[in-house]
Amino acid sequence: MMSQIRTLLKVLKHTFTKADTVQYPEQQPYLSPRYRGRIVLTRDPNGDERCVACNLCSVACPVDCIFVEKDETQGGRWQAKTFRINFSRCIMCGFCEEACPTHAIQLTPDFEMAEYDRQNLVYEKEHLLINGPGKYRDYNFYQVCGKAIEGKAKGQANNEAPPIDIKSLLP
Amino acid sequence: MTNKVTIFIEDLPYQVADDINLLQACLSLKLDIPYFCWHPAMGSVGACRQCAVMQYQDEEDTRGRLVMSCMTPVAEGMRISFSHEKAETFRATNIEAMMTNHPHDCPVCEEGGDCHLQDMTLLTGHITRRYPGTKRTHNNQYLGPFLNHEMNRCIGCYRCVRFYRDYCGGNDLNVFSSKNNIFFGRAEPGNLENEFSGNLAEVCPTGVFTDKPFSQHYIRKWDLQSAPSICTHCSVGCNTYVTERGGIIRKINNRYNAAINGHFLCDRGRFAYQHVNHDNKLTQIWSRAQQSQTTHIFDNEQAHSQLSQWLNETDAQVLGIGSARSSLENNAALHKLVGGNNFYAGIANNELKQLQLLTKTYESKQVALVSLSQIEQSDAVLLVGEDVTQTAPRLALSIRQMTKNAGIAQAAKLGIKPWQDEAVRNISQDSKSPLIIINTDETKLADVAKYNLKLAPNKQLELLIEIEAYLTSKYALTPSAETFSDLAIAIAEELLAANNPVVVTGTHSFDIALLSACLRLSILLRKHKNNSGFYCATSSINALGLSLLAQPDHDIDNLIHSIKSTPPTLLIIMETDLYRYCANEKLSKYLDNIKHIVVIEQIMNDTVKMADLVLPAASFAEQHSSWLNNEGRLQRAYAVMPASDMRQTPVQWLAQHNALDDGQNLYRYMQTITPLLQPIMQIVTTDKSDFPVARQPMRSSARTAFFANIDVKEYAPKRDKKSNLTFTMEGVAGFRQQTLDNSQHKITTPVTGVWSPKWNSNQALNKDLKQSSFQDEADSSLGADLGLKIFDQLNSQEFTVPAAQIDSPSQQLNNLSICPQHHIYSNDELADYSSSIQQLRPEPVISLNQQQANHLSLKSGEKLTISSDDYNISLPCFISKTLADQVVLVPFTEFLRLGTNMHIATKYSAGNANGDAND
Ligand code: SF4
Ligand code: SF4
Ligand code: SF4
Ligand code: SF4
Ligand code: FES
Repeated sequence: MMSQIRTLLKVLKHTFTKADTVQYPEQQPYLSPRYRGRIVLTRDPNGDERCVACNLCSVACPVDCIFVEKDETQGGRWQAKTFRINFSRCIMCGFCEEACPTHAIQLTPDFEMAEYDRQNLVYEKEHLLINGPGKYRDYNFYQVCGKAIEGKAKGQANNEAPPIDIKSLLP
Repeated sequence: MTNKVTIFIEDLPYQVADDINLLQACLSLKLDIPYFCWHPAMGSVGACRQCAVMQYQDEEDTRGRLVMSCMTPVAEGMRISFSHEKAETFRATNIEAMMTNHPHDCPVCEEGGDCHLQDMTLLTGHITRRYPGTKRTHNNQYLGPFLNHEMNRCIGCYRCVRFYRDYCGGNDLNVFSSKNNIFFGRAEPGNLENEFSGNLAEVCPTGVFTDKPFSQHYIRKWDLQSAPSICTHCSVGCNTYVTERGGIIRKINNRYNAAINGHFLCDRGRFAYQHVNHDNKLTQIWSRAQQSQTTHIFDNEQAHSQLSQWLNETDAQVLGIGSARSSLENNAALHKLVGGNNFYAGIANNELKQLQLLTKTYESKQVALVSLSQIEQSDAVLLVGEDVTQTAPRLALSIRQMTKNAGIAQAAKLGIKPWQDEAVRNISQDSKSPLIIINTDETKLADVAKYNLKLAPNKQLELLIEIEAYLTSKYALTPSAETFSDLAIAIAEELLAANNPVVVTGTHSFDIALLSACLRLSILLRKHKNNSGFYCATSSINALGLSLLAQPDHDIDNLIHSIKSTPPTLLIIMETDLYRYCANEKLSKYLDNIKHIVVIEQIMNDTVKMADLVLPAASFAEQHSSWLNNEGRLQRAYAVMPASDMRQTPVQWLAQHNALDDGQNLYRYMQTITPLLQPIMQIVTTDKSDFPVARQPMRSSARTAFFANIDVKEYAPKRDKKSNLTFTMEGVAGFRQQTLDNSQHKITTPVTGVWSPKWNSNQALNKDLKQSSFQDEADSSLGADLGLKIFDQLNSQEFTVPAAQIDSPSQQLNNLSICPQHHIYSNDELADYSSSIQQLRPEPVISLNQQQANHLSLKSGEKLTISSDDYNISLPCFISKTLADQVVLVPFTEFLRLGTNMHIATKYSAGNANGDAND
């Protein structure tokens, strides 16, 4: 008996609490920057493409929905010739972002990706590439890697000694 | 034969072979001992210090000492510990020190995912860099079209120079500078000159040397679909893994075959695959309408009805041309369609003669056909009339290894094992097993040869006949009173002093007399030396196989004769470019007289342009096929991808018309053509393997995105109806087959790749190799993959090799011999389509020595014209210092087109005619 009354009271009390439901889409909820939604490809602080087509995201992806094909620019940078994500398969797990050694691939708080036609969920590189560095402002992979590219010769990366002169007789 | 000894690892007893080092023993027990500098083919030098383990004196010993396992021979009762803390720390520290200078390159390194350094680093547990100092850097060099150079990644294991210099005899790659600064490269940037440079990509455990063409269409190893195949670019028949993604061949990897290529391929074999990706490959059925001079694209049905209409015309007279670069299956299918009488081999007349002489001799079992591994273990080689460094490069590499056996034997007397590389080299110094080269020009084996004779072909023949006569007389009851030249005696004695001398020659001289002299010599030698062997390189992968199907004199020369006099109504040309063998105008005229020409071909060439119906043929990478190499070894190759577009194998194209499905009937038909092909069923039945086997690695990626741009719906992958290999990652992972004992479990599934848990690079192979330093055929654990030697399976037939006649040198040529000049990068038809090989193709020249140039009043670079009945060439001449006298070398392809009746247009001044007129 008592318990039934207590239950009724509780329910009654709830009619006066503030509703959790938001009036989406008029009202947009707050999503943290770490929210895992639509995937983008970012650029490094100099505005160059970050992705080096290493394929690590592609192999990390549990549903195999990323396809990357390598290309090389005149200046020697590795780059994606094709970068395709089939979002109709993506489970927004974020493994790709974790695997990426260059911080190129990032998940964003945008989840509004519904489409009438499944084919439209296939994103190519031009749909994915954005103009900024995303969550990681300063990272520039080529500045820490030893490969020489146009504008950065051997020995000019962070923490590198100048190239050895192999003809030198000094010990 | 090797014996087993018992060793104790962490106090547990294990049985291992007694002639190997501890590292190899542990690897074969599937222990993950990290190492860098040891290589199964090159032995140990103990340079990297990575393979340390603890060794204990006896059971009481608790302190133990660190030893390098690669430098320690196994011994009965030996006690070691792999996981002792001291050893573990040593290995971890060692790799951490190596990594202090290693760049942060993995994402942009072609080696990534296929990298021994990555594997070893993870194996020792070194994950983060603690060292705060700067990293050493190096500038890279341009090394030619085959390899990238990225010196920063070097860990200084010395494998590259040991392979390039000590193993292959190259001298343009070296180590420079000292201590931490050491640099591996060339003195000046430039093309690597050795024919085996491409192997550096596999030999180097890091990404210093990587495959350049591969880098241009790069795919990580885990995404490469791969299948076991056979290299189709020379007659040796090396085993390869062909790798593919998206219909593009990405690279060729070595596939270990203990009897043939072992661990290494030549650069032609490694880089020639690009013809499969070529823009000019044929993928559509074309039909040319004669009157309107227009070309239409046909569909399958139209093509077949056209073909059957032509085949069934009332007065139909059908001839077919088979191909030496097409599989046995394809040739047999054409053979059935046109009938043996009308089947012509797509090779020149003198070559077919040579091949049929070889077959007859092989059938008689008077010579012992040896494999490359047997050559490597022999102790004397007589190499006659063929520059094998250019025509069958892998063979040349084996001969080079043969010369080291004298040193190895010396070392063995002192109890030093063959794998103790540095010690063996110290002991042997300059002593070499004798290599005797008789050739027209100097070859790249000259540096290890004991005799380097440069003679005109008729002089070569004379010498051989003299050696033969000497041997006959020596063993005759009443030695003849003939006197022999010192040279002949010396060579003969050299061969007799050896335990198992091998006579090596080839058909590329197109000189049947020379070939029969070699055969006779080898037969004679075998009478006195039971272990002596014979090896003959032929012109292409299936030349010998094709010659088995063709009747005598059914070759290109005779075909052209026959179409000249009586043009057939239908000529079916399969994978043969007739214009390689015959002068343009003449041939076009004859072909024009033929009513219908059907060409089945992979790639656009001049012959295709003459066709009325073009049927696109599948490349070697798109078909299951059988190949017969020059030693009569029957091998099976598997398709790595489904045929693209309209391409089909010639077998499939002809199946509707010759009443042979491409299954068992075809093979049964093959067996009826010649009993020699009886064993073919044995290798073909392996197709019905026990389990489906995956061509793709376990971690293939992008499955749901690869074709999503075309259609987001996922379709079932193509199925392979003719083998149990799948075009997916479903089925048993290919590499796993290797870990089972095939002979015991009677498992016949092909292995599709090299991998082992924690070992992603090709070094994983070393965990599956058998436990002996001798990798001979008899006791190889990979026995099922060695192929079948058809001549071994036969009862011997009577045959006597006719004595060689010395031709009097042609008067027309003023006693000159015109010989073909071979080059690794210009000999092979399909390899010509590979852009990286094209870059290294030599400029065509005519070579002759100074004396002949004087006779012809020629200066270097001036043009010399050589003509035959209806073809002539005019090329700049090159004055060679090494060329034999009275010899003129013309590029091989031009030599083929010139035919037999050549003359030199320039006036020959008698001068001091040096040639002996009484030859
Ligand atoms: S979020 Fe997960 S499922 Fe989506 S692409 Fe990345 S790894 Fe693949
Ligand atoms: S997005 Fe990152 S992980 Fe993926 S290919 Fe590009 S660099 Fe590699
Ligand atoms: S280049 Fe490669 S093979 Fe040569 S020493 Fe360096 S790591 Fe070893
Ligand atoms: S030796 Fe011949 S068969 Fe072997 S890899 Fe080279 S070209 Fe191919
Ligand atoms: S493998 Fe033993 S020291 Fe290098």
